[in-house]
Amino acid sequence: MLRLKQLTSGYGSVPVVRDLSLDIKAREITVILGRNGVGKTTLMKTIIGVLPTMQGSITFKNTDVTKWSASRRARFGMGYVPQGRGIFPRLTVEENLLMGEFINIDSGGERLYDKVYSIFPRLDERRRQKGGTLSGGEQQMLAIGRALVGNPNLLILDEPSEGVQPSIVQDMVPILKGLMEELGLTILVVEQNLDFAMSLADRCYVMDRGTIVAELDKSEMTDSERVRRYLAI
Amino acid sequence: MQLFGEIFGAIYLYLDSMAFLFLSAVGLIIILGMMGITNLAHGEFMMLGAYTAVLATRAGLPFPISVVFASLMVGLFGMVLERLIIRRFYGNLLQSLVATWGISLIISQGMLVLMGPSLQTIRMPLGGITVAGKAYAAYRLLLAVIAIGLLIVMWYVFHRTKFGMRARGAMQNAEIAEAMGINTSRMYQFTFGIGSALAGFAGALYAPTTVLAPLYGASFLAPAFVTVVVSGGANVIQGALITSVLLGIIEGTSSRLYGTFIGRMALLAAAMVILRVLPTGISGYLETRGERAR
Repeated sequence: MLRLKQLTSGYGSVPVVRDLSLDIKAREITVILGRNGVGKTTLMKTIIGVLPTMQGSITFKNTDVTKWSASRRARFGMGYVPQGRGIFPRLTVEENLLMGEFINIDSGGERLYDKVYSIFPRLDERRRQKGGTLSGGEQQMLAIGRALVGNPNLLILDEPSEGVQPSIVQDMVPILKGLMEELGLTILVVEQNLDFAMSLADRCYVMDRGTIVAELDKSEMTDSERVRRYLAI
Repeated sequence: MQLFGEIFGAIYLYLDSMAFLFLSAVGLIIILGMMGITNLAHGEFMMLGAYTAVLATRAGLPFPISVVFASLMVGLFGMVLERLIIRRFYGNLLQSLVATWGISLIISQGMLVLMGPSLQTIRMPLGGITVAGKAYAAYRLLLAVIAIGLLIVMWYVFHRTKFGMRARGAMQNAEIAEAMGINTSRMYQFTFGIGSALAGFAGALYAPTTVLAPLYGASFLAPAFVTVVVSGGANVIQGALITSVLLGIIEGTSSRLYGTFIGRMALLAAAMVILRVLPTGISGYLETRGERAR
């Protein structure tokens, strides 16, 4: 679904992500674990295209998208839930959702407004409220909903647990798993919340100093001592 | 009857003042609010609009058609300029100021070379009307109506259409808008085109009211600039409206009492005072106050 080959990128001329190769398989939830500052967000921004690739290539749905603009990648099927949620504060909930309708527009799939409102009834109640007035958890739902309305093939979430109360973080696990199964979605998450990552992941990688340093399989993931050692927390 | 005449005279003056501030500032405000570019060539764009409208009218086009034609031409000119020059300076306030200032010099000096030091303008259309024994220019009343009409259209476009919604989204967070599949680069070019077309529109509309000269852009820019700076904030339409009404009242009152020169001075003084008290501008102040109230 998504293949990164020897990817290098960063800000200005300083590489933050270095020589990173990764294969994201379709209809799986892949989680990349890493501490603060190892380049997780830089990697996400490079994948969606708001940061340019310095070296290497990005292949999405068997198409080389390395040189594509972010908007073109979104139209081709990448849905993005940014760190800090990136809600448009002065647009209403409804308008925020409408902003996502270009995602995956190229394949002409249906728009999922009703679906989003049924998964997140809180958003339905707050349709006319400004995005900036929602709580952290509600904003997270809105950010996920906004990426979902366009019916993407790949949903990318950058630290979805950050700034969200723990009970809502736990609610997100079955929601994301359900979406994957029901819509045939591929999900890529970067996280540093270990428990959340564990309960979510089909496949889990550890990132450090700008590159992937380990892959954890299911049995290793339950061995949290080992994971903690990888993360050196 | 005399009282009515006084009131009408005052309203006429205020409307005239407000309409000019609004029409001349709205293009500048849209470009600044959406793209963070302060277009110092805005006055020259207005001058180009005025010249185009006058020349087109002299060539035989009816004046209203000339105004539309001038807006389109200046809008197109703006879009080309955005593609060639302006887009290299996004996100860099100082460089964009210097670049647009350079553009303004090239346009005004270029026009001086091409067209000479002044251009005979056309007669003000519509003639005059007499109210309570005093004569007023009907055209200036029409300008006020056009300003109100434009305000309504702009509000509709920004708050009721998908384009407007996307524009406001791109204004609030360009990177996320881009990640949502919105081609912000094309949107910026289009926005700069609209802002330029509005400058051309304002210039064309005011062409019959003044003597035209290539260096006239600067005198267009000053009041527009003051309006924009005082407005501030990201709520484009609301800011432009409130600020042009407020400054229109200040300028109108002082020029009514002490003449146009003092009126212009009062405008600048008011701008300084307002920015001293509300450093983020009127619209910026309303915005932060609104957020605190939540």
